[in-house]
Amino acid sequence: MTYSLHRRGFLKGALAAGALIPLAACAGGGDDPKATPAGSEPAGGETTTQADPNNPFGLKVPSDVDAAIFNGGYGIAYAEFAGAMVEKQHDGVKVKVSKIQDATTELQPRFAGGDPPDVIDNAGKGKIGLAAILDQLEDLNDVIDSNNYEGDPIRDTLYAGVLEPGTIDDKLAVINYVLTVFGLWYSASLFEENGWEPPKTWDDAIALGAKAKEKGKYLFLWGNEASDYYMELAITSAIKEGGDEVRLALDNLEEGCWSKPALQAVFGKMEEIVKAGYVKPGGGGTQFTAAQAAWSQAQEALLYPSGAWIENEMKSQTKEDFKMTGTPVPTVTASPSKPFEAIHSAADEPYIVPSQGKNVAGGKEFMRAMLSKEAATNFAKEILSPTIVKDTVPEDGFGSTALVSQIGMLGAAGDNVFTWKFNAFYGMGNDTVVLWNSFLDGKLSTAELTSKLQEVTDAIRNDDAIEKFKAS
Amino acid sequence: MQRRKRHLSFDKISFMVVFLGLPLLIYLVLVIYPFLQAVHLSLTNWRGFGPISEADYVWLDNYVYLFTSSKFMLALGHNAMLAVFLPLITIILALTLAIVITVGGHSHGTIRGIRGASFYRIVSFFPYVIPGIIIGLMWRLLLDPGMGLVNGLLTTIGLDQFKDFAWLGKEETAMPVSMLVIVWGFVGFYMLLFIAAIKSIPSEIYEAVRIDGAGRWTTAVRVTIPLIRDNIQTAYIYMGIIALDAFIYMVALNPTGGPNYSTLVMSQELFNTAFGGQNMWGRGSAMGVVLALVTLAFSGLVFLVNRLTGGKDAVSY
Amino acid sequence: MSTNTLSENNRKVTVSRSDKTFAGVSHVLLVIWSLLVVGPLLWTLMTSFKTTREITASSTALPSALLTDPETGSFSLSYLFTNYISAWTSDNFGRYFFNTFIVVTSAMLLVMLLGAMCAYVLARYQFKGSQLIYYLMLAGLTFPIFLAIVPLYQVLKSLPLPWAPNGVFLGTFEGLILTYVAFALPFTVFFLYAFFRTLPNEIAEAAQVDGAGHWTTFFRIMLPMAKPGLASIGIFNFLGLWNQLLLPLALNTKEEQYVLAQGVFNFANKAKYEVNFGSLFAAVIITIVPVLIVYMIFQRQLQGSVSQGTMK
Repeated sequence: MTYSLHRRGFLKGALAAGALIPLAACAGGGDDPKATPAGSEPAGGETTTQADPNNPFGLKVPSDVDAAIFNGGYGIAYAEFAGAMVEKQHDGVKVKVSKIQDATTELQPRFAGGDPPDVIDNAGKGKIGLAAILDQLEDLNDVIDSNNYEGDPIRDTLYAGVLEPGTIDDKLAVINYVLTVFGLWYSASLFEENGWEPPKTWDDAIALGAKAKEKGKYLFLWGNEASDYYMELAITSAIKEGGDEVRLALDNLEEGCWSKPALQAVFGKMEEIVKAGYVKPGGGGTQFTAAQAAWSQAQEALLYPSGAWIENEMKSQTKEDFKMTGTPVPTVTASPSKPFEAIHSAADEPYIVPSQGKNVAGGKEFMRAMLSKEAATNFAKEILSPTIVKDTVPEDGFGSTALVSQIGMLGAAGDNVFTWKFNAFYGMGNDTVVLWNSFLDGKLSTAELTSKLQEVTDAIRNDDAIEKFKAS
Repeated sequence: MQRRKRHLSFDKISFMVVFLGLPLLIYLVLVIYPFLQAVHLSLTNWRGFGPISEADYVWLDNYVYLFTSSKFMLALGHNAMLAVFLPLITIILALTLAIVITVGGHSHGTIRGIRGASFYRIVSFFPYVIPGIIIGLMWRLLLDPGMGLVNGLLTTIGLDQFKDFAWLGKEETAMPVSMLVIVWGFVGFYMLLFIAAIKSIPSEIYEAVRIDGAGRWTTAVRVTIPLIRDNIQTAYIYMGIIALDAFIYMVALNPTGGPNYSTLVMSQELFNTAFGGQNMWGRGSAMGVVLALVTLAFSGLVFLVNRLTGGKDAVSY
Repeated sequence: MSTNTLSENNRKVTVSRSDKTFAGVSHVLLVIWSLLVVGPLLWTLMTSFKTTREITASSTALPSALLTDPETGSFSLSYLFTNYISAWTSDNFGRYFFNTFIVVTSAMLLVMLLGAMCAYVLARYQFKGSQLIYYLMLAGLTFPIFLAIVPLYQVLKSLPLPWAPNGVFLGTFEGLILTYVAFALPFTVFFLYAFFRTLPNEIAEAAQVDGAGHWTTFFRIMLPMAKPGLASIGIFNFLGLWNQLLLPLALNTKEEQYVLAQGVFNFANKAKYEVNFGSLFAAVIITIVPVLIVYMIFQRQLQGSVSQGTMK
């Protein structure tokens, strides 16, 4: 079977423009909520009618909602906040928010046993591969078509395009809740002190590497489990250089996709940096947060490629007055296909509602609460990261330089925001991590890296047991 | 052995039912049945999330896949290497320490242990009581190129080539270092086992050997080791089983399988296949079945070798 | 067999030169080994008194921030246990500690009883299939645990347990305990089987001649005689179960029911999150110390019984 992922201009301009400027809540259309009554008969409990906008999914009262939330960078307090909103809205409903750490190990037996949770935050290293469970998930379009707790149609409150990655064959299987901006992160104070500028091209980066070396510092460093952050960097740079055809070739597992000139050019520049000794050695033997601390605390390296979660992750291991700031990744030439300001940004933190859940309506009601402005603002404030819900971040970014720079990057990027999903969808993480560890360690040349990445891609393309998606 | 009257009394029936039936029931339901079920799954293309009944039978496809997968064969090779070297290193080290502790005292009169024997014995056992996952995490930090204690000490004594040396990040060192960490965790246990075995050797034997003028080395090789060979066999099997699994240590030390997969083991590949990426449960189950068969074959081989070289068949501990 | 075996006590005897050399070399070897064992443990202990910032800054530096009063900058002991307090309370290791204690102790006692019963029958009664059962048990030692996880989950889900919230074993301590028992059974039987075989027949036979039944013989005569063996298998099971990780990871997924090893594992694996290395090290110490204490208390017993058991 082939799934097609529609990409109708993911994260259109509205995202960038809307990030800071409050848009008048466009209270226009909004279909009537296509309410689906929860699974079985109302067993004694009171059931409100389907048409009730306060209970669009026919949530049974009283009932229990079982929410399994990934206990990672964001903790689970924000989900408990949303759970409390559901309980307040529906007296008698109890939302049990439980932590999960490794979704696959912990929930796989529950799926197999026919009693999955009602709603799952399927995030983290152990997230369940979408292909494996796709046909067991609810279509969440009716959640998006319902009104939020403030009374506005949810569809109108979201950034444009954020639902596309979770839409497969018109079924909204996944709601990605958090908006993540990827880039190169640096200490604005350190750069200012030394009169350095963040690099715009790879040649700038190489020149900066030489300056860093003079100061006894490195340009980059990496950690074992996170070596593929450099693949993210390379792909982003290559897409900026070569345009969407690079992205499509990778997503569609094309033969020879890793040999695209843009990717080759980026790999070549990165190899030059490795060979010049601008990358701190030993990353392959370093636990990744320990490696990151050498950047954020000891400042042994200047730049680190990552998603915007890095600020929160390293909070207690960041030098005082570090002023963590993000910048778009460098391009190969001065005139790339997409401008320097183009960025990789994706909605992430995938929420799913399994059809087999005991309280499907409860799972959907939980998502309705999460997508209400109150919960989304709470998330932005507590986690210092934007959600897919618009207008939740004030201009001062709640005091976070990283959050302000994310919003700035989104604003500058305009329409030039893109993402890809082949590696996550096919679970290629472990294979690519091993290769990038070797490449950054100087053990693989560009040619070897290319052919080994191609082997990984080809193996998946040729494995008939794996279902493919089609990107366009 | 039971030689009394053969007729079945209530006492005997209830006794057998409770004493044998109850443990066996628990064992069959919670251990044997799940493994048979896993064998069943290995013949299907089950993906781990849907109902098992809806999975299709692919029969031996999963097994065929394994033997054509270079990654799985690599992992199998690593396990084989571990099964040879881990028991060997652990046993040699444990035996040396055990002999030194038990007969390290002076060579006149009765044999006696070294001074402070019980202290060394107690301390050596410490690592065995620490959870494997913690041993792994602890050593990963100790071996950290920058902030780790190992490189800190090495550079302090002037070995500057170890500054930022990535023990677990280099293909040449990742596997040997991982093995040493596992050895570190188990030597104390086997030392204790060998000490017990050596102490149960009647001291008259030692005294007789001494009167014949045998040196310490001769005594160890000619007397001690042959007399405790069954214990060594048992140790070899236990340690081999650990080497063929090695999951927790390897995952904690090299979560991604090591540089260029140089520390990837079967159990880890099984875990990645079944739980990670594509959730290929059928394939993962096939890997588990192979792993169990290899382990059984290994134990059989050790028995056979010991028997052919004149040992007893029985397992002692 | 109670012949004169090697002893550890030292009497004053004149010492030869070669003995001195040998003892010297032996001591050097043993001291190096002891340092290799104790060093990392002491380092872990020391690190548990450092802040995350200090830990990532230098591995060898001594703790200082937690020994300083942040207001006055002078030496103070009142902050020393900050990591332990946060691990024990806010990171829930206190709770995990009690969970582990309950689960491990119950499973250990139960598996010793059931294992002893099973091993006794297999070792001392001859009947058709007894060898088969023994080898079936041995085979259990070679199975990779996580292969069994999904089927195991389904078994626990279908086993009724009337007083549990869901009415089944799954997700309860009872379920986890029973699973621990099942997986610890092979090794326990294996160990005690050999032990029961070495026990002399005469006493049991005398008792039976006196009219004692099978039950009485076991509980009154054989079990007390097997005490040393039970003690060591008890300790091994305690250590093994205390350190069990894969089973709880898959079967014991409610955070409030976590056991220690699971807690440490999950704590260390929090990605995209502020990792509090200080609390992590404190949690490691909290996990290790109880088993070390149990070992220290019972080590003499362990040593004694292992040697008794090996005498054939």
